[in-house]
Amino acid sequence: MTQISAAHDEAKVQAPSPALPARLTQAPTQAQLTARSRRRAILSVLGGLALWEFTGQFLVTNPILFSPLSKVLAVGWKLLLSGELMRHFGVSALEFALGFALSALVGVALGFLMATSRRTQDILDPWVSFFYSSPLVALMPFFLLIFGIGLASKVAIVFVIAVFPILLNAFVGIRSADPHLLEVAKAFNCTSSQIFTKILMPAALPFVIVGLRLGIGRALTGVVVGELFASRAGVGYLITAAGLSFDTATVFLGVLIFSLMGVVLMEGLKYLEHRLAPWRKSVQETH
Amino acid sequence: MTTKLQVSGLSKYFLTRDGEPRKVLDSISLNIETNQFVCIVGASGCGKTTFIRAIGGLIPVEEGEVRIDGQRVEGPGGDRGFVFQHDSLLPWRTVLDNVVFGLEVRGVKPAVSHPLAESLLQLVGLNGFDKHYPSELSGGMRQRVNLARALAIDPDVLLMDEPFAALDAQTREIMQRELLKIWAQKRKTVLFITHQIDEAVYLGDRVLVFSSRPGKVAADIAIPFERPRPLSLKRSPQFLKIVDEIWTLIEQEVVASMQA
Ligand SMILES: Nc1ncnc2c1ncn2[C@@H]1O[C@H](COP(=O)(O)OP(=O)(O)O)[C@@H](O)[C@H]1O
Ligand SMILES: [Mg+2]
Repeated sequence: MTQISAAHDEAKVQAPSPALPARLTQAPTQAQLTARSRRRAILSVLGGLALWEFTGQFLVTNPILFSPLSKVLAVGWKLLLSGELMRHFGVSALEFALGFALSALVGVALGFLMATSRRTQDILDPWVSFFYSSPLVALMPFFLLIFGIGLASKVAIVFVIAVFPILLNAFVGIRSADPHLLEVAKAFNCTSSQIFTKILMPAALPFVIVGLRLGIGRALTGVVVGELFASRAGVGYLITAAGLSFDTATVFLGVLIFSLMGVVLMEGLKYLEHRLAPWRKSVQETH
Repeated sequence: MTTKLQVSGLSKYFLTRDGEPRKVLDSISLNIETNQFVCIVGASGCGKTTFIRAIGGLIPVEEGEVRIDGQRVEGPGGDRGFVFQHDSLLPWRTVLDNVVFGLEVRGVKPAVSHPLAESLLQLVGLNGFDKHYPSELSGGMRQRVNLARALAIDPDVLLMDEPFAALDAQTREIMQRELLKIWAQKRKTVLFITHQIDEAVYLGDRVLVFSSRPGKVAADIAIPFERPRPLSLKRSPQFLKIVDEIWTLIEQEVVASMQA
């Protein structure tokens, strides 16, 4: 009797068997849940944008105090056609890219060095602790004096405020490598450079990604701060200039551009993490 | 029979928190013959892991020496393969990449190491899992990968430190049987640590009973059972008698060390 019903079930394993409890067949699948979450997120964003537009059109109609989405987009379109927008965006993007790349390189390298060399750690530790908690944006006037109003002072401020979280996370990443795995490496006779590349670096990778995520946020802040202080171009300059002439739509446009930059960069980093650390995805999926 | 592993007068000290030296292993001497399967049992904390790490060359010893084929052990080497107690697979490597780890470290090309790893995965019953990550495997499967990784460097001596301790009872029995099957095929000298007496008696040609504080060999018991050994052997009166004998020895040891 049991044998027969087993064979029976096997034959139609594709279709949901009517014998299954209703609660099980009605439960949404993982894909359905994901699709539902995505639908909600999209609706939430669309709702927010509608609210923005509605507020600008009907609630706060004074153009100095607020600006509806449609007007912000219109301004953006105009600036895009005139080439202004791409010029400012290009300046900001370059400041960000150079400053962030520099802080990522230096931060990861110094973090790894500190984690593997006792002497380097002893020497750098007080400085890192000091600067990590300092409000380093206050250095901007100093950078303006040293590097001038152009690209260099912006790269400097971006570097200085983004480098410490990256450094610290790289350091912690190496330090948190599982000692059991280090023993495995020893048992298999790894050289110290093999221990570094095959154990320490992959162990540190998730921490490095976290550091880079924090660094991206800080670097964007660095670009804004740098350009708000003194500049001749850039999205931050666009915002300052518009603010001085009560052009709220352009101010909103600038803020929107910075926000979108942040979102795109975070997504890019997520993608990078999936590519570099596929085992972490499988951890999430199996638990 | 030739001697594969020779331990003479081995003592190991650790420093206590106050900086005082404390003897953990007390002048252990023993010989293990080629292709012998030797199990070590003893109360927790008696120095089993320390002993196997010393043989593996992972820690220095203060007195005595370990020789393999007459050669003095100075550090880790390809003549010994380790299977650790804890989960020691590299989580960022797939099953296949974990198995080839020891070969990769020695510069063996993938063209050579991958087919070898595939055949070892087949041997441990994991064919088809080469692209999985350790986190996707059960505890038993992970220890199979661990075994395959140790076998990949084709060591003469397998050092196994409570490899099945974390497994549930049924999986453990299956793994014991499979290990014996693999050992019969590969012919290695095995040093197998466990705190489960029945596991030691079922697997070993010989069971060494360690005493505590400091660790030394309290008894060296030859296990007479024919091979291959069916799992049902564990229910036989003769088997249970040996287990009981060893338990009595350890029980006395535990009581003695508690009184000391
Ligand atoms: N690295 C170490 N430093 C100091 N003491 C240690 C160290 N490793 C082990 N010990 C001590 O040595 C004793 C034996 O430990 P271990 O060999 O792990 O025992 P077992 O594997 O039999 O449980 C224990 O008392 C443990 O606390
Ligand atoms: Mg142990």
